[in-house]
Amino acid sequence: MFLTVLSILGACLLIAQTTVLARMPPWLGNPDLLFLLVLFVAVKVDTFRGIILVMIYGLMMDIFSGFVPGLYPAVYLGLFLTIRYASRHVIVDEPVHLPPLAAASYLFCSGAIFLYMTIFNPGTDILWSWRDLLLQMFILAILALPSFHVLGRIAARIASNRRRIFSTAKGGNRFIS
Amino acid sequence: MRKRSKRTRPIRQFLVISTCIVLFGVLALSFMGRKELTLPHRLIFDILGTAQSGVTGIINYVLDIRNDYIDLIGVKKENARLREEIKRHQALTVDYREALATNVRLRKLLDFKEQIPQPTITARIIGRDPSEWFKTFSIDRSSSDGVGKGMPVVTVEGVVGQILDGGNHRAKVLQAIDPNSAIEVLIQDTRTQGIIKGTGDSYRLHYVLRNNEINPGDLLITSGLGGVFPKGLPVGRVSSVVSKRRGMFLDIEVEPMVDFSKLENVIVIMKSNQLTE
Repeated sequence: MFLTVLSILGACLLIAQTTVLARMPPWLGNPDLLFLLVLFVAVKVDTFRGIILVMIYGLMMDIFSGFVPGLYPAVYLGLFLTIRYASRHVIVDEPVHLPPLAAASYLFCSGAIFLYMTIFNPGTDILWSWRDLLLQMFILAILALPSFHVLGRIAARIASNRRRIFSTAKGGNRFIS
Repeated sequence: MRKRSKRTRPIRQFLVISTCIVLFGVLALSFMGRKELTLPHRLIFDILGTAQSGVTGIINYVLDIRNDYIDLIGVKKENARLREEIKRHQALTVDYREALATNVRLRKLLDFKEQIPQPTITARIIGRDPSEWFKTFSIDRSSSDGVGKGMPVVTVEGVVGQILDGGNHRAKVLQAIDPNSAIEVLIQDTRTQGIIKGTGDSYRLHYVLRNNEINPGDLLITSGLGGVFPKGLPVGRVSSVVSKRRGMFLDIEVEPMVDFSKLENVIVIMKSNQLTE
């Protein structure tokens, strides 16, 4: 249930990003909402389900973006594992840490994509614009807190529904026959 | 004295009445056979007419006030209805304008399509690349429509890109402004050849020797040498030429003919596939 809902949510965000948000004026930027979802999964979801989700998101991105299969799953997985490792030493899910985390993670992903392309596809180039990169980091930093709040509520809702479904097997006071 | 006056009264009465009858007779006789108003008629008519107009004016004024008052009773409702109607008409106008713009765009595409010798298929852009690192978009045509890898994608203004891969229901297009796109071109006037590569939002023309005469504004067209694009399609216009002290080649910036941010429909030129053969 959790995986399905978050996968569908990822697909919806990606569709919005490629259609509605893609028509926004370039100076306003096109917020990478799916990236925020990847970040949320990396920070809030347990390792097993988190890996499955980031792989699914990576596959989705592979379909919609670029032309190098495997690029996004690898980069998102790298980001996921890095944040997991960092969370052992630093508190990453504090609200005050989320905006810089979002910006730094995007920079990490951009660098990882550049490295991946350089190492595995030497003949190909990617667009690298510091202006666009900084604009996207700024947008993600602004959106990090509200999006984490909304996604947290969605995740809590799913969890409570699941608890209700599984806890309705026996109702009332089980000590009274 | 009193006796005398009593005697003369009938005579005076007779005289007055007979004078009146004579005068009336004279007047009647003088009016007979005339078709125009006489001076007295006109005088009376003018006086009465002025009075008439005054009274009519007053009556109309009173009636207008009454009608205005009666009209006010329903005016709020009518106002709301008219506002709704204006909104509806405004929405309709927007729809008509959009339809007109679409019609003009598609007509241009159709005209252009007829100029291309190879079979073509029109496609609609359904999604753009969400990332900052690549310049691709998806179209609503696929391998089931005969669209295959490497087919050129163009529009009325010029070259757009080429098909990267075709799925079952959609295909992905690599835009010509992506750094991984390279197109063989020539400058229309001087026939100087070169290769343009994308820079994200424009092109850069490579491998043009320094001894060539290139000027800003020169039109670049496809040379047909790469085997992908047919010859003669417009690509862009030279926006700046820099001749550096060192190096063999000129540094040339090219402004694309196509506004990639406003693309909605494109034409896929279907080269050598099962459907076209």
